[in-house]
Amino acid sequence: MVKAFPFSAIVGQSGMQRALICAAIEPDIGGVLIYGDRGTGKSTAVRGLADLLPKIEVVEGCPYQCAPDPDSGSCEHLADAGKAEPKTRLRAVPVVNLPLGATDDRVVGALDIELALTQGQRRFEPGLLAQANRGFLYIDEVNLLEDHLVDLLLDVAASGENLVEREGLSLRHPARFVLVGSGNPEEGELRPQLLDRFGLCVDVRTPEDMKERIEVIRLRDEYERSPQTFIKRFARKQGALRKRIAQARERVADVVVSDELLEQIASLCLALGTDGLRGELTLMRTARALAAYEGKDAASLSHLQEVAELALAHRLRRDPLDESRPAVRVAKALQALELS
Amino acid sequence: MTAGVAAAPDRDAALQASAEHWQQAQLALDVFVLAPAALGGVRIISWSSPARDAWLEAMGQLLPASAPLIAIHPQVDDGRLLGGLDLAQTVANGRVTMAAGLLAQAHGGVLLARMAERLGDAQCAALCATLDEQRVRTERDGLSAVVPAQFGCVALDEGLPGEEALTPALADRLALSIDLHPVMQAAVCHGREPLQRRGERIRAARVQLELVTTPDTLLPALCQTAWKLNIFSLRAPLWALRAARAVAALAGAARVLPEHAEIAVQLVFGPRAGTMAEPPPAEEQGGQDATPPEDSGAADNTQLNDPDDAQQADVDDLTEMLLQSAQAALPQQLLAQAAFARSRGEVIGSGGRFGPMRIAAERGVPLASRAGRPVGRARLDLLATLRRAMPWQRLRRGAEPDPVVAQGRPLIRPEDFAVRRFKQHAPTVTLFVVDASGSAAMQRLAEAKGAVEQLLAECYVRRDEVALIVFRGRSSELLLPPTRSLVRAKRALTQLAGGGGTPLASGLRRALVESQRIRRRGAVPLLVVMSDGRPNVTLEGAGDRGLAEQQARAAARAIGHAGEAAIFVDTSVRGQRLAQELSELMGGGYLPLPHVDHRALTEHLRSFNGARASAGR
Repeated sequence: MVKAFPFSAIVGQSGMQRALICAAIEPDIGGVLIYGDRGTGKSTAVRGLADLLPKIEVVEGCPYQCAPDPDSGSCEHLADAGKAEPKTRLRAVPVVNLPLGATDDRVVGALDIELALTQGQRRFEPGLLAQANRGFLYIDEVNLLEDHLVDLLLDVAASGENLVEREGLSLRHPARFVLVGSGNPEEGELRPQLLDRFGLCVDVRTPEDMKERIEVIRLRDEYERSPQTFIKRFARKQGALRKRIAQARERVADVVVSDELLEQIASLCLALGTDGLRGELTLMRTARALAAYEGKDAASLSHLQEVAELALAHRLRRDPLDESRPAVRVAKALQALELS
Repeated sequence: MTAGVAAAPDRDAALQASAEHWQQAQLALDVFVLAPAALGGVRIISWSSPARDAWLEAMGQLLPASAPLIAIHPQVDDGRLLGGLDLAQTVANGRVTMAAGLLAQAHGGVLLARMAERLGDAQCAALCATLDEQRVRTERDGLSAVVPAQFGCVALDEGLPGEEALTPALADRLALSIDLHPVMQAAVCHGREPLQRRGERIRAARVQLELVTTPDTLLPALCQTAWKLNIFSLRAPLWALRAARAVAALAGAARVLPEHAEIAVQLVFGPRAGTMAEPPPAEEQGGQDATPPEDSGAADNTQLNDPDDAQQADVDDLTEMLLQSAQAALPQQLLAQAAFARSRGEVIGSGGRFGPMRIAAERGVPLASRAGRPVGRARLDLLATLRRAMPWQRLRRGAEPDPVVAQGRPLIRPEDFAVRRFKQHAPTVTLFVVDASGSAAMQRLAEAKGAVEQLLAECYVRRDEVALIVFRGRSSELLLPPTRSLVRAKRALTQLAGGGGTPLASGLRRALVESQRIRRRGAVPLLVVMSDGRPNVTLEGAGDRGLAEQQARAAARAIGHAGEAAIFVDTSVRGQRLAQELSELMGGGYLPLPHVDHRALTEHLRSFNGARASAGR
């Protein structure tokens, strides 16, 4: 299988790259929504993300990629199944794709049909949510998703657990993942409930700078003509980026967010009228993640300025008919903050 | 090479145009069969005709013998397209077996999409995703698979010109586009190259294609040319680049020369210029992320500022040449159309993307399963089927003569099949017909706009679509085709200016036409006419009040006959009798709005919808 287009080879689109990298460094940010026309490289970027993340330790054979229990080193799910002394191994962070036309039995997990047909036994076959545990779930064309699937994903993303009650099965399993969605705003807006669930939201456009356009096409053409050579060419850059992200992940918990910065965040959110605490929390976490990525010990106002739009722009969309662009409002509020 | 429109009165000119179009089509065919997957595909704009049949037949013969040719139609099932459970094999083998989807089956060959302009949303999205990724991802019916799917897509676009059109998203992914409408039989029969010789030429070109090199100036020049032609998609220059390589290979050259690039530009940019271009929204002060990098000193970002002036000069020269070539290939009419449309901020060909709505529910709120065979749209509910078969096992095993079968898998008979049922909610399209004439004074218009905004908010909650027809001056126009994008609706409203006469009949007639189109898509239209009920312009554009009123009545009667749900919102200061009459003729509701009370309007609309729903419309 051909490997994905390397993340480090993406030209421009700095907002989208920043959002994805922050979400990879700090999973608590709560996911990224990428809005833009088709063909702006959204799916390319997300699929390239998998290659950038450090490996995780999982219990061998566990269908939910559980981390080894600190006490016994075993996994409760395997213990249920009666297996003894499981080993652990390193594997890549799962980035699971929820493609178009996915049916709910594959998403949630369902009865193992084969077993039911052949031996008449009941066994649970884990679905995509199980595979995405401790990783990323990528939804392509999120506005085309069927409503009941959207509701389902909302529930699971909020609780971190997948509750299966169907076809005579009744069980629950861990399902903590970062939700990444891409969509085209022309096809209809996302419901506010789902929109709010995403931590960050980015608008992507095709670049207008001629040099950038040429570079994008040139790289795409090279990649499609000989993918292996292309990937090799960027191997070093990928490695450097990977290392930087890994270091940032270790450092992020120690990055200091000063009281002054917290006050500034609070006043910014007040000025913009974002609801609840989620906007502030997300903004704080994203600023911290960005500071960690840049190797700093503390988050500063400049970090805040770089990520404010990502974290807040979609939370302003209360009136679907509101003409003023959210990005402009955020920028204005930031300016006012600086002056005060 | 000039391509005239077939409306030319002169027979010779029409024959000439026909011959040129056919030649272009043949060249496109050669380029396509050289490397179908590399160019995404071809869009053939034509009704069923001998010309199209000849083209397809030639394609079939020029493709490599091993290349599959798979056809899909707009009603194709998700499961057939993406792949799913092969029920028969699964039950027979006792093992979950997957049936390869049509997209996967087309790998290495060509996918033929018939009536492509009617392709549904979901199928279109799946096709586009597969063309992008060159892979099919399937997650359904308990199966999970990723299989390669590299193919060229030939989309047969049979849309009425100016009405239905291929989805822009899909059209962008097909490099070539040929219009076979002007081609007459004479051109098709005349002067054909023997197929065998052509086949050999193409086989040789396939080998040559691997060796063709491109000069460094080519890609920048193509990008600049595209930009100047208002083609903003990033795919277009890429297609042109590949087409140029193909043309060079066909000519037996080792390097792409300017004349090859010219031909490629005619094939790829010609059909696109002015049709699919939506100019990027004006840059605002806030600053987006797509700002140019270090080059902030450059005055014009659309020109390259290379330190190497000599190379830049070469690029510019090539750009000029390509631009001339492309413009020469554009039909004259299209240029004028494009200029006119752009001056009004419109996009041609974007209104009216039709796909059959799946009313025979395959999605929606699931209800209990019921007995039935899983044919057509109905999806098998495997578990319910098994449950229905279980009680009979003992009897069936007893009756089964073959001991091996009697002991093995569950014995299932056709009467056990159960299919899923869903409750489908047919979407509503609220079609506003707004009077923007001078008699609807500025204030009234503002109030009407306010009322419409309230209604838009309602539509947002219900996930309906909205459309906007406006009438003023001498005619009416469809300002906003049905869209779910509320921002577009709002924008169209704010840009609405008032003035001129009141061509009410024209507005009503357009509303009827549009509502029929909406019905064809499987949605339910709801007309909301906002006017002061004082028409004074006839359908012909003359200022005859008596005739105008008569025609308005006739149009309202037609709407009533068609049975469409309609509300007449009377925005005049004192309720107009004609307005009341028209609402009766339309068979709908009447709401006088002396002082616009948004709540009253919303309530009225809601109750209207409720009454319709309970009446089972």
